[in-house]
Amino acid sequence: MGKPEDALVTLNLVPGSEVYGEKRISVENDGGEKVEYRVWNPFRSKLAAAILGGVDQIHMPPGSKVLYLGAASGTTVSHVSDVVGPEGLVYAVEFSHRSGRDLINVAKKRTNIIPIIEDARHPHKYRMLVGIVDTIFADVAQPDQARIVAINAHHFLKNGGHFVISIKASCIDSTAQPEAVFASEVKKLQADKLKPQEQITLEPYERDHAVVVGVYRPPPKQQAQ
Amino acid sequence: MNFVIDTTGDQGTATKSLLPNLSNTSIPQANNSIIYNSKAPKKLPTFNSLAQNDFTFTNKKVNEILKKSTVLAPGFEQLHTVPQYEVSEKRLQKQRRREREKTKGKKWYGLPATEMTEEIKHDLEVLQMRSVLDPKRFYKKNDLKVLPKYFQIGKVVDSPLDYYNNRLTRKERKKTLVDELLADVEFNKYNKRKYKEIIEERQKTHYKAWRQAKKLKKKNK
Repeated sequence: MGKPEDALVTLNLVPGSEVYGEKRISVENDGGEKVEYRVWNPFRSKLAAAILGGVDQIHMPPGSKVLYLGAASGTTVSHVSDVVGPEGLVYAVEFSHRSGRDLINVAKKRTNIIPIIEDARHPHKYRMLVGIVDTIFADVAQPDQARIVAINAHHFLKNGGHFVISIKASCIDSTAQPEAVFASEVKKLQADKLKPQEQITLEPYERDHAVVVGVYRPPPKQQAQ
Repeated sequence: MNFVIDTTGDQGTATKSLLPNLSNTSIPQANNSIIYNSKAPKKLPTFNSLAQNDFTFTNKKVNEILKKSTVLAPGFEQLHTVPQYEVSEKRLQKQRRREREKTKGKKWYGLPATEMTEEIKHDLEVLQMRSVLDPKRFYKKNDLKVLPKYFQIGKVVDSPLDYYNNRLTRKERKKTLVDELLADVEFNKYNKRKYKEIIEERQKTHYKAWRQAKKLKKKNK
């Protein structure tokens, strides 16, 4: 201890409280007011791993609305809620009741999270809760992941909105080469007007995972005059 | 301060209603109203106090109006020139830019440009050269070649969940990173030894020859 270490941090929306036992760093400003940062562990969160892996954009600026599929216990969701801030919104969809309970507990303290305990395969079941969103993040580790993302994008994603998907190769086809699996998933996305822009692997943090970032129904390119 | 006299009303009637008070010298009745009420009878008991009252009253009124003025601020007489009433667009832009540069902006939730003191500068420099601090620890290369402008320095909040040897004891805690390193005996020993080695190697050969050798070594790699 005491030796310098690097860490990704997010500004804590609820100073003084942690979500999953992560480290906190408190800073006192000149005015005497305290702000707090929470450490975001890339080994526990695929989004953090993607950021540290050097992804160009996660398309979640302050004040944006994010549909988060596969929220689990809400560890990453809490960081996304930090990032989008008090003016943003995170719709967190999780099917499992067990981890959904933890998710609801996280949402109790963070007012910009809307927890939805529902199957992401059936977006019509929660369509009355979710408005048009700017970005979809999906970490659902299901064989029909591309279809789930596409159907949610058709329901809720605005034209020119973005998607960020984490793909676990072994969940889709455990026998094929990971690269081949990623390529076939990207093909499926393209068929549903989800145009991929960037793909990185989460190599030091996760094995055989890739994150694909792209745009949904981008506006047609301006013709050169 | 609240006035007994109404400020908008007729002067004559107002002073008339006050006069009995003054002649009776019953000061405690209006003790917390205004200054001249308690002072005037003492200083000029027989003088025509009406004119005096009038003067101080208008003075107060003028002062009140002057308070609202942005140009005639206190100390206006001592200014070299009259300040411009309208600030030029260029200067406003400059002001706005200076204000903007104080923080990283809204997208970073106002991350401030912390003032660079000598201590903070040393700490940041140590962070930049951290790869040489410990031979058994490896870091990614720095993303910045210069010292950062927008940053904050905070303290890790101790968690009761941590094992006790996972944090520093109170004695080991120092104010800055440099102080902490200097208090580390192992670190000092290692650094002193390395420093000596380098100096000795330099003294073996002429400085310029040593530099040449180093260059060749790099080339061969």
